[in-house]
Amino acid sequence: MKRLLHIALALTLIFAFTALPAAAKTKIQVASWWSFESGSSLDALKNAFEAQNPEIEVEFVQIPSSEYYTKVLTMVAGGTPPDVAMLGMDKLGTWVPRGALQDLRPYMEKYSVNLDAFFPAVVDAIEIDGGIYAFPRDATTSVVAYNKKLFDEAGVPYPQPGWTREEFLETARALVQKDGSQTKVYGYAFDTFSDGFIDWLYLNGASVINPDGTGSGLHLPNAVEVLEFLQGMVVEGIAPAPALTSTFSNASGAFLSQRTAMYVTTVGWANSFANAEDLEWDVVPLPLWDEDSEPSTRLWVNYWTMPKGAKNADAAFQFLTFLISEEGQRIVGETRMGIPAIEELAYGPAFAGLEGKPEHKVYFLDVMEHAKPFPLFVQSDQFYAAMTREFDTMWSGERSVEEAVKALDQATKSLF
Amino acid sequence: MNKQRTAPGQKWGRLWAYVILILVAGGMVLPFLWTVSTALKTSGNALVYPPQWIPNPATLRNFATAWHRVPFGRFLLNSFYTTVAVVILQLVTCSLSAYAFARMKFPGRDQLFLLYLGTLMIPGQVVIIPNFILMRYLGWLNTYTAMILPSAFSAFGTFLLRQFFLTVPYELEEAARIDGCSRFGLYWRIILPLAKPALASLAIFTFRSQWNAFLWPLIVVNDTSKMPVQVGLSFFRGMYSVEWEVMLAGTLIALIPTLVVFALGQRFFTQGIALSGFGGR
Repeated sequence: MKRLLHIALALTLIFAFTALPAAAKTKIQVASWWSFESGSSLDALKNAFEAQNPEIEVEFVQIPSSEYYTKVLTMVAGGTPPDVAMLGMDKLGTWVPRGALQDLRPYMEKYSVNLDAFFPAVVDAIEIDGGIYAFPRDATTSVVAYNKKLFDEAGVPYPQPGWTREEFLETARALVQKDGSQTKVYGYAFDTFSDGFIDWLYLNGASVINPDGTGSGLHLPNAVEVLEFLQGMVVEGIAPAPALTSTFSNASGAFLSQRTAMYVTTVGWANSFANAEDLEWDVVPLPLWDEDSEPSTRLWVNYWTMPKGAKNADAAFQFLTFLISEEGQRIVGETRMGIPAIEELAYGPAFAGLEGKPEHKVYFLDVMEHAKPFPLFVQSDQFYAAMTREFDTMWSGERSVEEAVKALDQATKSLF
Repeated sequence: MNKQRTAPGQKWGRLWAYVILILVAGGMVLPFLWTVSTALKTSGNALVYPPQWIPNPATLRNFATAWHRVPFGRFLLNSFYTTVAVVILQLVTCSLSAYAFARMKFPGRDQLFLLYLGTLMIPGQVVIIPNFILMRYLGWLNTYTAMILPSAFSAFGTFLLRQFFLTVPYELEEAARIDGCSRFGLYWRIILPLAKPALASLAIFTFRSQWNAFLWPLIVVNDTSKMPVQVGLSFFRGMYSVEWEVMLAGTLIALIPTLVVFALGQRFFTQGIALSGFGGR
């Protein structure tokens, strides 16, 4: 009996030791809107990071992009925020003041992380109210995409860097193709949400909000000049009216289906054009507003952030650090959704050196030194909603620009 | 036999009625036809202007793309599982509560029923975050339970069945009671068999709304392997653009089970609308 007891005890000990769990891994939840198609790059990020940090496990929460913010905000409000979340630039201005994001500066000091290798413009775009609330996933500037075939058909020479708005307008006018009263091809197409015309505002030294950030900036003379220029193109029939643009889903759709010869594009849209086999196209920097004005472009950054209340903040920060390392930025760069934030890498194999259209990708990088961040302000959601409402009939010329900007200024006064 | 002649005015009236009905029916069918047409188009042709009704070239590739790009089979299975579970649970819970509200007498019954009915007035969006927090406390986030249980009870279903139960003659129940039938027996042997049309229409209503549920599953489920098909479909929709041809091909695939259920239960479905006066809910 005693012997049996000894055997049982020994067996129990053996089982106890063999059944001892391996040191539990810290699991971090990472929310992203990237779809399954680009899932392979998420996998690559996970694998590379976990190989370097075997004690941490990355779990992606893939959320459909159209519903991304609804879901992430519910997770934050419900007390179960993801440890790391992808974020579009426009949301930084509203999420930071509302206290939804963790300031990363203390962690940067703790783990001696610096941002020296980044494009200076990108570093500017992640600082807000003296804190750093986001790391860059990638960035994008804007350039003009043009359809070479439509240029050839119209006998118009391809545009060159350093061209002016006047030349742009003449070019766009010459590219219009008509079939009786129907326009077959437009010279230029733009979207009427802020993304669609902010580059033009920047080119003329204007912005959607005034320089102090205390109200709308669209009633200021430079902005009015830009809006009248764009409205003029619609009225003249060079650019499609917004109602028509929406039948293509948006202006990029008009470019994709070869119904417009030019379109101001970001890297992400350029990627969707690159997949269209029958589209012959290239890019050129935005025209100068006037011969003596400064070049400019809008800078858009996509972020990786740490929502407040993240359970595994240190592990999350380690992952964030990996995401801005050369390896992390290279993997993301290969998705062609944006420019890696590390300058050397962008001019190297992770962007400029990538094969495929457009031929002059490097223009996206060359304009970086003049790039100005997309405006961030806490009232942006309501402001843009009011802008869409007030400008609706303005674009097609039914309402004057003066009247529309005044109405917008009135409608948004109480927001600031 | 002398056939009654229709007055000319009546004839015109009928003609107009048909014209209007055909136009309305056309308006209803057009989006569906457009869905079929777009699902068969190639990527460049989905958005051409003027719109193309007959796809040229036509392709079935979008169906394959939709099926393979995301785990579509898994999505369908998840939808099927959660939907069937919710339908069964709702039939049980709604019929029990409807029986109590219709056939049992207890103090405050009608007030309680009105209160329960009042919950129909609260927009779903309002209770999303409280429900989400509740799921968190219960540890049900990211589980099938979170998709099924909160939908297992329905004020609408209770209302629908109660209205039907009220029409069942009391004599039947009384006769059964005299023969020694228990309270549960009355519910199970007398009321339920008579309420088959109402139960069938509730099942169809519930199937349709649960199959199409989007926001709640989106919020509570994180794993793609647990997502239902409606959430899965939204993966084809970007933040600023949509791959219409793939999205609509996926939509057509996702539509099949609803069409099958509707075809099988069409008779009950129309009865259900007549019963509840809740057409289109």
